[in-house]
Amino acid sequence: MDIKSMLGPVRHIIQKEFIELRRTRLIVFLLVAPILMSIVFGYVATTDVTHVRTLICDEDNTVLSRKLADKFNHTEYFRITAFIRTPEDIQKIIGGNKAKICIRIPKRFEEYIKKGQKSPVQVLVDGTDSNSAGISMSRAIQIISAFSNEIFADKIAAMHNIVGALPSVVMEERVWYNPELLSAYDMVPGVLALILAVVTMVVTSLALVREKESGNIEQMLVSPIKPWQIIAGKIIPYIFISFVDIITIVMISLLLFHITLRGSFLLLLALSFFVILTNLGLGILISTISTTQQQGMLSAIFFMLPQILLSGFIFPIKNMPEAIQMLSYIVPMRYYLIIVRGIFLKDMTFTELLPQTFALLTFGIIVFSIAIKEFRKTVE
Amino acid sequence: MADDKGRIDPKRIIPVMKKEFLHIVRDARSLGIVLVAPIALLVLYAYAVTFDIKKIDLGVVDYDQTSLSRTIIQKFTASGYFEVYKPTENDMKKCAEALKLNRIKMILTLPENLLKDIKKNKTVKLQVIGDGSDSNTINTALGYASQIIASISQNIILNAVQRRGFSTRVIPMVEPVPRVWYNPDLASTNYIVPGLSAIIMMLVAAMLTSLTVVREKENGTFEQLISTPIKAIELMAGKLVPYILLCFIDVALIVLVGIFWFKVPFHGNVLTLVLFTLLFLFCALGMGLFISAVAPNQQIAVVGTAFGTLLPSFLLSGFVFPIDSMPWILQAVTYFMPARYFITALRTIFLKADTGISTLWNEAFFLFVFGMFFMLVAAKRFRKDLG
Repeated sequence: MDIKSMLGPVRHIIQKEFIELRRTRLIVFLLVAPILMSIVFGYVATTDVTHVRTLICDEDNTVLSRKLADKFNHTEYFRITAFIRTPEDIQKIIGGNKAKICIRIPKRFEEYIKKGQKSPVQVLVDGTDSNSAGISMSRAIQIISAFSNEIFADKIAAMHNIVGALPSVVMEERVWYNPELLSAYDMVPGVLALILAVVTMVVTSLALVREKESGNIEQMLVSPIKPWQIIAGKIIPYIFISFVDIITIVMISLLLFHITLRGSFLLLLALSFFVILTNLGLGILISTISTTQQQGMLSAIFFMLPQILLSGFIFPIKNMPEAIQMLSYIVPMRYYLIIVRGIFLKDMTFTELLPQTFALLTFGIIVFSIAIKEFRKTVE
Repeated sequence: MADDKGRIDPKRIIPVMKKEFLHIVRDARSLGIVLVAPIALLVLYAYAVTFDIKKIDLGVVDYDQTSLSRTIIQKFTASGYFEVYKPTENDMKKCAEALKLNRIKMILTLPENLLKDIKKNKTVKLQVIGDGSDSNTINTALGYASQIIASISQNIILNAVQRRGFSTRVIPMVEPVPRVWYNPDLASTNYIVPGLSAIIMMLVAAMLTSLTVVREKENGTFEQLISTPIKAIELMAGKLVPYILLCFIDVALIVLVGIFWFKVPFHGNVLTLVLFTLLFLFCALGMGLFISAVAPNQQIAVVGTAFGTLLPSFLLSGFVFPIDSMPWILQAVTYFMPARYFITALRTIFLKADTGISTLWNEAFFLFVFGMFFMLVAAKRFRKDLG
């Protein structure tokens, strides 16, 4: 059999899949989703905690206490939404979700400072959302410490004439790769990994199960079409869509979020192919173990959720317990995220990304060959 | 096809319900996933989701090599937030490379003549370079570093003042005294249990119901239903009851594992919890039915629920990402997320029942309104399809 007649059926299946995609308008979803997701993740998915509703309870009501309260007005991290002079209502306001954090400046605050004593300021946090509570608590502590440092410096400056010049240490801060520390810089490229998982794993597995459920596969098998031709015809459209999605997300990153693609675009495309291969393999595997689309969907989703969790997309892997960190090594998305962020932000080269490429390639080959084997088994 | 007037007849609902039950029970694996996955996810989330940033890998380049420079490095490690990465110690080029390859997150440089300059009463700059490609971690890390350096500086100043024979007792300090209410240990399970309940319910209620009707359409059995005297409302009720039960089992599982295994405190009362669960279920099922009525096939239904209900409930409900920190447009969008109200209600019921329950009227009202809206729209679509 010559190549042309071998590829003929593949072409027809591809055409059929595209017709199906157009007819059901799924193609619109698959092409618009990356745009929406990049925008949502770029703007929402910042684990940075800003504009926290803040209650100020200023019992002291002096120049200094107002100055400290004002510090919370001049930062994007806090937004003062309530201001009281007595502490009775604190519990009601925080309990009723009207404020998440309360800065309580007690009586005699200024007096203690003037006397050169320690002057306590209470930071009361609503711990129900433990993550943001922790972050905004340490931010509040930082602001109060900075205020303390100012008072300290003022006092030292006032003592200058008596004490003389004093040494000090200051921090000179620099941030590489993302000087303004915008979380969109790491989130938007990360969306690539998520979209590819949805398109190649979830949707492909459903595309295959659909044929099984409707009995089409049996009809195809009594025809001279070979199993590999079915698979090729079924997955090539989704590989194509994946690449269109990659290009879309790169465009959005460049044009909307002004993230510069420092590394090579071609390298990004080339290495993306490996993760697509792995995901497709997983998609095919899921389709072989599923008999209905509902099963396929559930399996795919529950395969994907832990992947997102363990990939380092949102939650830093370094902070997880050892055992879970080990588990993250078998998550292909983990490696792909390093590749995407590395190429995007750090201009990482192929040699620098060799370990990740190697890991993805190994996964791809193993998963894909098991998937093909299982698929043959189920159809034969 | 019967017209809409006339009474709802349980005789027509029960067979639909039975069929849907059979469908669920026969598909053992789907059932297994729906019952086991919530627990698996809860355990995974509970252990893996932590934003506490500790043991940040720090590259150190010490050009000074004096007692002072070593003390400064020691302060960084003693804080518990940083860990010195040994392989690249004191080599700026290697440190820069390690930063690029994600081996370290931050580089601390201690300049030459650090100790000498301090003795000469000069101001010394300590350079800190962070890896911005992980913006959240580095933001926190820079905060820690600046606190550590500020306290080092104050110690140096106080020492100098004392050495010149002056009292440091006149130098004031403001001392932050932090206190956490409702969740003193800041245990992350306490906020994951409510959030995860919402996500799982969206998954089971919205996604599974969205598939039920589409499946009938795809298999052509929907036409058979049309030729029977069943009414839209009866069809909906029959299709929904089994999933309501499944959802309740799931929520009960999550809540029980949360309370007994992860020791999430439960201050509220079970009745409020059940009430809000019902209200949210009402919404989620309505959304599922709506998608189901609109979607032409199961693939679309899945993608539609994933992007229309599941992801938004994850992103825009305040489960992981704080709503107050979003741009105002997206904050406005969160008001249309039923999950937002449910999560607020659950967190309040679990952790701050003593003060919060009476404030939950808003949440209950909005959940009810959304649920009604989706149910009515879905029912209208069905009636059109059936009639």
